[in-house]
Amino acid sequence: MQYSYEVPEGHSEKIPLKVYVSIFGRYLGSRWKMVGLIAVSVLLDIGLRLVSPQIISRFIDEAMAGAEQSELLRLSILFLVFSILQQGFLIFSSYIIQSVTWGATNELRNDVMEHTLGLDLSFHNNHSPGEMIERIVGDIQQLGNFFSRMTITLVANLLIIGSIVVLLWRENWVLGAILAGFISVILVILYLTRNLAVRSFRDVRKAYGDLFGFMEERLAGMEDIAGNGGREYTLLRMSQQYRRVRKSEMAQSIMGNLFYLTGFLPFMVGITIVVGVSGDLFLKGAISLGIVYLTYHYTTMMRQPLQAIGFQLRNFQNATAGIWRIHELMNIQPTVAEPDEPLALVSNGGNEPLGVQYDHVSFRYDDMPSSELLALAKREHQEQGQDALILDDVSFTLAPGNILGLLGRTGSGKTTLIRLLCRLYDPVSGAIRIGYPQQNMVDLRDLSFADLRRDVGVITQQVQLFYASIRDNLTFFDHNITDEKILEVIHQLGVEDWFKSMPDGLDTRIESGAIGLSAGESQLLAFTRIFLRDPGLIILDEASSRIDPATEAMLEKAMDRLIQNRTAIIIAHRLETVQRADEIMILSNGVIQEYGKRAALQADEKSIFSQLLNTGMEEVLK
Amino acid sequence: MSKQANNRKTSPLYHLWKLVSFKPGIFIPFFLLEMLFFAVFPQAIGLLMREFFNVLSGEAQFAMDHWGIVAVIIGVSVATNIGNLADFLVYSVVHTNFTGLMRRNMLYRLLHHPGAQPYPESTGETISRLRGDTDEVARFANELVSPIGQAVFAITALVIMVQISPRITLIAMLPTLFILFISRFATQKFIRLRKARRSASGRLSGMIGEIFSAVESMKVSGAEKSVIGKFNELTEDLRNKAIKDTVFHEFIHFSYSSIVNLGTGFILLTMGDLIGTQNFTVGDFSLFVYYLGYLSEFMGMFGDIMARYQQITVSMDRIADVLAPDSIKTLTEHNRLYLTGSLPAVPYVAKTREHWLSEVRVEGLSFQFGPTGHGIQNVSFTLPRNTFTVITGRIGSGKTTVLRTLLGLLPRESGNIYWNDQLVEDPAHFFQPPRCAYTPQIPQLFSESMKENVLMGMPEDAVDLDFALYTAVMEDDLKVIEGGLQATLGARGVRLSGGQRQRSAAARMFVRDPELLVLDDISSALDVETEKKLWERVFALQNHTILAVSHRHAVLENADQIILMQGGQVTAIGTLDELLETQEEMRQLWFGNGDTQPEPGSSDS
Repeated sequence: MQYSYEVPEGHSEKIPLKVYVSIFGRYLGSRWKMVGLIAVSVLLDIGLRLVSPQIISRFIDEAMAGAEQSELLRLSILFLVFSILQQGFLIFSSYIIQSVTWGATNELRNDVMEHTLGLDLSFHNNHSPGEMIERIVGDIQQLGNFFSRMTITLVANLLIIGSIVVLLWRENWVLGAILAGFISVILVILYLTRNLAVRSFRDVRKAYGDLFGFMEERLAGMEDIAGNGGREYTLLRMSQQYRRVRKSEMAQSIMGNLFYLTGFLPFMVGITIVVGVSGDLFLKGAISLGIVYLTYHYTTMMRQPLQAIGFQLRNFQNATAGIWRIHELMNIQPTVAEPDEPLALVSNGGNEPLGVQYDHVSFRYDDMPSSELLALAKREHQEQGQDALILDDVSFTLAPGNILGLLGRTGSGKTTLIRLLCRLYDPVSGAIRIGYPQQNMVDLRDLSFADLRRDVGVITQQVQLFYASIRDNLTFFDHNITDEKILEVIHQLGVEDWFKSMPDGLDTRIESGAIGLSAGESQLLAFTRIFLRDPGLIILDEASSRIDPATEAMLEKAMDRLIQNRTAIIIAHRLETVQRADEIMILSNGVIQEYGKRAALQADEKSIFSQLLNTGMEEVLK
Repeated sequence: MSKQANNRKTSPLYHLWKLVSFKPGIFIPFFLLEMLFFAVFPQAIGLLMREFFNVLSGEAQFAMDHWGIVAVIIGVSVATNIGNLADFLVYSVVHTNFTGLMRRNMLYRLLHHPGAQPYPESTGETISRLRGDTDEVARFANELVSPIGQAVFAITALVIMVQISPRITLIAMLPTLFILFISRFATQKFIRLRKARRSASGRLSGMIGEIFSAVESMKVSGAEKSVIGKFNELTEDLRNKAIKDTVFHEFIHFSYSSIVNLGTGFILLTMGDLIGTQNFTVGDFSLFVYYLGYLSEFMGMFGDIMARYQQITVSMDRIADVLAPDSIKTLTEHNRLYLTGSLPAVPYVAKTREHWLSEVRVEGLSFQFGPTGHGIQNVSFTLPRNTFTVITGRIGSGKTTVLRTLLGLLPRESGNIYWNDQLVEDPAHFFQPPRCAYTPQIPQLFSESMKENVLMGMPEDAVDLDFALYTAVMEDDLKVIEGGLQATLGARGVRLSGGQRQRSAAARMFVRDPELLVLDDISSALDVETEKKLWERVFALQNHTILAVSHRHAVLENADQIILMQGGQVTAIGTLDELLETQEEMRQLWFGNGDTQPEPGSSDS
């Protein structure tokens, strides 16, 4: 992971300086030229802003003294030119600032996306898609200003304030000294209160994350709500969520703007006093009316930089809150990691079956306390005085090219057995190995994800579709897969007629949320998805659960062809599928209850398998 | 497209007014505070400063020395800054009320017409509209106030300026006419750029939502890289659109302030000979420059408003797209948000004689939708009390669509539905508990406790939760799930297995004790034993008028009547034996004949 820094301890609102520095380094390092340009244009802008009132002051004094018209004209034109130049710089820097902002935040977005996708499933089980949208779009948006101009603006505005003090000091040291005194007190106060509002900003971000997480779930479940009279209830639940949004926004509106009390108020009082003193000095004849005007104009001018500092301070706290939340995410480490030096799977190339070996594999879900699987297993094992294992010492070897029919009731550990084989989790003890005939079996943990994913293909319980074209749904947006290849696979599967019914062929857009495609059709897509990748091992997890018998019959045929020369593990729930298997395994509470050649088990009247067949159920336990 | 036209009829101004008039108790104080800050205080300070200079140059009109004036200015400053905090606080309340109202109304609309307009895009895309577009509109409504204050300020300033010197005022204000010219030219471009940006942002949110909904599929397919590639494409696209939008916006903004600076320059050019005279004092000069500074800000803001008004019309259109036709008007409808005080109890309708079902009759129901074109035509059937009706057919034959259309989740195009011979006008609101409840094909659960998921607002003491869970065969699962009914289920209920999710959803239906139970393929993730138990318990219910979609043998065998669907039409209705005898399609579905071709899609004519 390129993005890394130390975890700040405890619940402190402060983030160590080096964290800011490392984030700056990572996301602005490659943009230093742009950042330099921003700095230059900001400085030029300041310079011009400081010069303009000088011109006006000169103008007043000269006009009062009855100077030449031409001299006054010269000053007027100078003023015009400078103010137009200043606007020009502003537009120019606006463009660069936007580029840097978006460049840096997008880079961060990508890092966060990459990182979170690499996290374990248990993470995703606890964070809804709506919340992730808010984190990746909303939270990171808060950092845009932080990246592009916060530091520069802070420095520049401090410079302006400093220069104004100096300029004024030059005119009259008394005025300069009073102003300097006020300003330093204010800056110290601002520095001391710089982290005061971070928590309130974080609360706001969290409230919105929760709100949109809530909304997203409800949108996905609209039919469940509407069909069961849950509308009013849902609206009231939203009100509850919104109360938190409102409360956090209110707290933040005060905490985030305390600057008006701690900075702006003393400032206004201060400059007014300075102007008053300048009046005294004029009356005593120490300074001219032009200088009084200059004092007034300069002190008024300090308003803007001070406001900018206040604004940036607010922003800084907002950004810190954002960094905190990103930080939270980035510090979660996946437990399932790629090896540093992966071993390779050696195949003869092309269509070749993969061998599978489970070697005393045990597993438990540590972080899913409310999981049914754990709970069910726990019950069983607690009775036996053992730990809650989902899989308990499972060993078997599946020879290349063989088909294993996996049976068992809900909670028996079938899905877990499969998830381990895809390395969604790692076993607690024991090892799972795969390998082609001409090499030694390789532990999954020694393989790169790329190798593993290429050679092990899975159809999960729920088919997840994107709002995208059929093509993108089949290829997962991988542009390297050609249409010819897709059509060939469709042909092999024998589902051409169905694909032809799609109005725009591969370009037909699928509407997500199960609208548009029936669940059965989604499974057809999943079948095609998997066969496109041509893996050596295919795992079907209840793949035919939602396909009507007529359609399944068609898929069976295609499957026969495609399973040829492949190893397969099928979580089966119908007779046709079981009949295809060479071996049968029945799991119960995480242990293998029965395992053997299908033919042998079928012949053995005492076997559970043959009993299942004999009960006359055409739909077998799963 | 007619939907667009209808929705467009409501002007953004209408909605702005509805927002502003939503909570006058909060908005009026907010308005007054803003007026104070933008019109009254700045004016006071400007005039006080002129007086200050006039005192110094001996042209004072009041008997007050310059320290007196300084004291008054300090007083005004203190008031300004303390008031500012109050203003921010009120603003945050006003803002949450505005966004809350729009978001609540959108959710309301979507819940009441779930299928009326299948979302243009994914839920993530809809979230982007609920999130970003409502925020734009709310901010605009809120931030309209300060320019009003500034306008008041500008007008009083102009009046004072004209009194001091009409000639200089005219010269100073002349360049501002250009602003009108520029804003005319910029409008179309504003709309175009903003549209592009908002839709790029919507696509991105949609994609993130989908990525995180499909995380397991993606992992096992090793698709992270290509999906991130796609994500990259979308962030880059948003970046380009956003930069264009922002920079153009700022460009216009800056050109407005440049124009006002021109005004200052013109004053300098013309008044050299006037300054210091009785007609035009240094105090007057300071006031003019002071005013021009504010006018510059105001003009910039005015330009902004014109631009942002165009931009929110884009947001309004995007919001209209996700709502049902003609319902954009409801976006800002005044409804209680319950942000303060105690939440009201969830309305609960107890079952009475009027909910009693003797028969549901469907006549000629039709619906057509989507680019994939599945629909149903002329579907008719009757559900007598306490009978079990199963709809069967192959993929794409329209089974689920029949259920959805019947329940009003999709808008029917034609056909009538009768409940005990009484015509049902609005099925979406008629087929509600205690009349009817529904378990969809892929039920969705929420990240709250099991109990909350099942009850979904039903008062616990009015219903039999245990019995509902028992009927759904959840009793064994609950015994062993740590935390039992209180256990949280994780995002979208992912902590449960597929079967548990389906049975929890069934319990949600049973707990409502409906007269009519509608189940879409409930058994698809259940093992045979559990499924058997489930149906046994369902048939033992006192009310068991059931309409179910299934192709499982065990279910079909138990059906009192089977509705066989093909290509969106009912081809036959009868018992299993009758259909097996007369219908080739039924035989194929039952025996799974390998030579069968799937439905050739119901989309093409």
